[in-house]
Amino acid sequence: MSDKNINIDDLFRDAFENFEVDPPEHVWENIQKNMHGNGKGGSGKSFPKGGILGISTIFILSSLFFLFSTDNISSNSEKIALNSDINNIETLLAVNNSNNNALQNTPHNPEQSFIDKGYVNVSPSTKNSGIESLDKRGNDAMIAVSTVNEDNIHGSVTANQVGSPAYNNNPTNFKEQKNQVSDDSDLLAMGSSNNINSTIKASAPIPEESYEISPPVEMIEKNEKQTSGSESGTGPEIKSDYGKRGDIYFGLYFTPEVIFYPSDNNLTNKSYSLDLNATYKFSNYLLQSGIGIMSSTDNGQSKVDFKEYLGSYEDVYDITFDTTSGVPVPTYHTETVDVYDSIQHVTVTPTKNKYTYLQIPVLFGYGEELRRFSWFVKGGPSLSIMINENKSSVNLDNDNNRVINVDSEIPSRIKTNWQILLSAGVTYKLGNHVSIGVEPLVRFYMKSAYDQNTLKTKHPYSFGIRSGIIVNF
Amino acid sequence: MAIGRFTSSILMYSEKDLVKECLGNNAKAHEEFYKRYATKMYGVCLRFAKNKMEADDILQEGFIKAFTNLKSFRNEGSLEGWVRRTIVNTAINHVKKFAKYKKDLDIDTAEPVRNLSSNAVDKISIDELLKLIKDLPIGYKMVFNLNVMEGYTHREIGALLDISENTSKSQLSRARHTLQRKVNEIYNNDRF
Repeated sequence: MSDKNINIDDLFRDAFENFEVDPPEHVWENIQKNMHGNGKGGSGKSFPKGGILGISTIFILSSLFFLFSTDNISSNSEKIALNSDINNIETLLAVNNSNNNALQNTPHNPEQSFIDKGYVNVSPSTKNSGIESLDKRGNDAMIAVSTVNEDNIHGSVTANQVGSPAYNNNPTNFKEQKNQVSDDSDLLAMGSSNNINSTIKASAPIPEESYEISPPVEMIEKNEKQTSGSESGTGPEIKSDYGKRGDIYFGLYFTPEVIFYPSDNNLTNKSYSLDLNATYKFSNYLLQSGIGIMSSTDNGQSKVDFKEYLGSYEDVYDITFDTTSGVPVPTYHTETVDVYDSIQHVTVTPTKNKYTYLQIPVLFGYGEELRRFSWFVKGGPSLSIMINENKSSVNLDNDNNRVINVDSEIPSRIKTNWQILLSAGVTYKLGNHVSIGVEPLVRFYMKSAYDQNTLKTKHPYSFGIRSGIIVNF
Repeated sequence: MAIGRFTSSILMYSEKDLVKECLGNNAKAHEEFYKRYATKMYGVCLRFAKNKMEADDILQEGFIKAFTNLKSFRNEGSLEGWVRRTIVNTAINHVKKFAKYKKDLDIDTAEPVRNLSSNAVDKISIDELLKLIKDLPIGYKMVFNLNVMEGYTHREIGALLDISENTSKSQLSRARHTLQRKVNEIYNNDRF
């Protein structure tokens, strides 16, 4: 080297040709942690553990929820069984008498206490000469009994509960008396409430003491209000969204979301999800769960190492001779061999990876109703499980080129991910059974959706607008 | 530069078996894989990084990436070459996050590079050469490393760094000129 001039490229190339340096030990320790132990679910291999854990948690929560619900239902069922006949009648009784006396009564039956806020509406009749005469003459009274939605029962008349034991304390007797309804009996009155769904006829001796029983003032007002509302054509009464027991609603929602990675040059990512959920409402609280499908796309580039295809030739791998005609005739056995450039090339191609996730949220919330509108806030954990991964193939100018290696810039994603989801929204009732809703939501990721060490942001977050339709039956 | 301590250990697996065992998540195979290539790759990282800490990060990230993507290795080239490309790509991605090298220089403005005297070359240690590369502006360093040290063409560098081919050429020309000037400075200082 002493007598020659050295090019700067050669100087560095030669100097670094066998350049080796021991890396610090902590590098290997960190790699080990990532590969074998303390990755703690950062890699795709964590799916079975994370997935099973997540599904188990949701299963346990769901089981507890349904056990709780079943207890309530069975408790009610027992009570209902005891009041099997009256249960069909429920709370709204309308008894018309010929004197146009409005009477109200609630059967004084301890076993009916589950209808703790029921009321009886006794309204005047037009034909019969009165309950007194019915009682004294032994005629059958016509009792129109209407059922109301148990959840809409509001009044209470326990203070005025009077009646004959035969009527009030023994549903069996009541049933037997129902069978005594005569054909020429009058149907005296029907409750005018829109909540009245069915009417049955029953004959019963109406105790004289019960004539004067009046319903609570607020119930009369409510009943009148409902009646006038109906008559004035203001439309059907809208059922309350909240404050009821045991209503289940089903919703179908669409949610566009933007995920932010603030520590990675403000990287953002979009996703779209469609989910079907069930909401159980009790009092003003709600519990919601369901399943959803989320689609997300990563756009980026891939570096492709390849060898360029130059052409092909026929390689003779065997020669046989046919001497049957006396002259040896050679037969050449060939195969086509592709020829590639010995120099390796690299190119960059756009890549689009698509991912599909199954989402399972379990949310708890609170809400209230304001006429047709209702508002709510809710929050809880949500589990995302990757169910499909579609990585786009590499497109080279010449399909015959041999791909040596593909190195995608797009970091790979992990299989399972937990998030904390918070949302607040409103619903608007279109009718008794259909509502529409919209709710902005924020999702806080417990860890990045990507493999560890590929992005700096450890806890991304997302904003979305969830909108959909809600039905109940 | 001394050969790293890792390379002196006994190698248990052939290259093909090593890949197979690593794909089987064998911890010993992972360790041997690392021992085989870590020292060379750390040298590559040091050329791309601005300091040792960044080189550590690139090496760590690159090896994790290599282990994760090892299934894409097709046994059609050398494993060391494949690992090297993975490390270089990791270094490019790492540097791209923090640097802007799209300064578009006109290649015509670059001065021609003259050859160095061999006397100068003999007096410069590899540590000094490494420092010269590290001290280059980020764009110069990337193009010089990729073209001169790793053998990428300007077209390929343009695609990798998202710059034009001419920009790559001009950056290289500037890098050469800067390095030559600094090598001469070192030589002159030593001589006098």
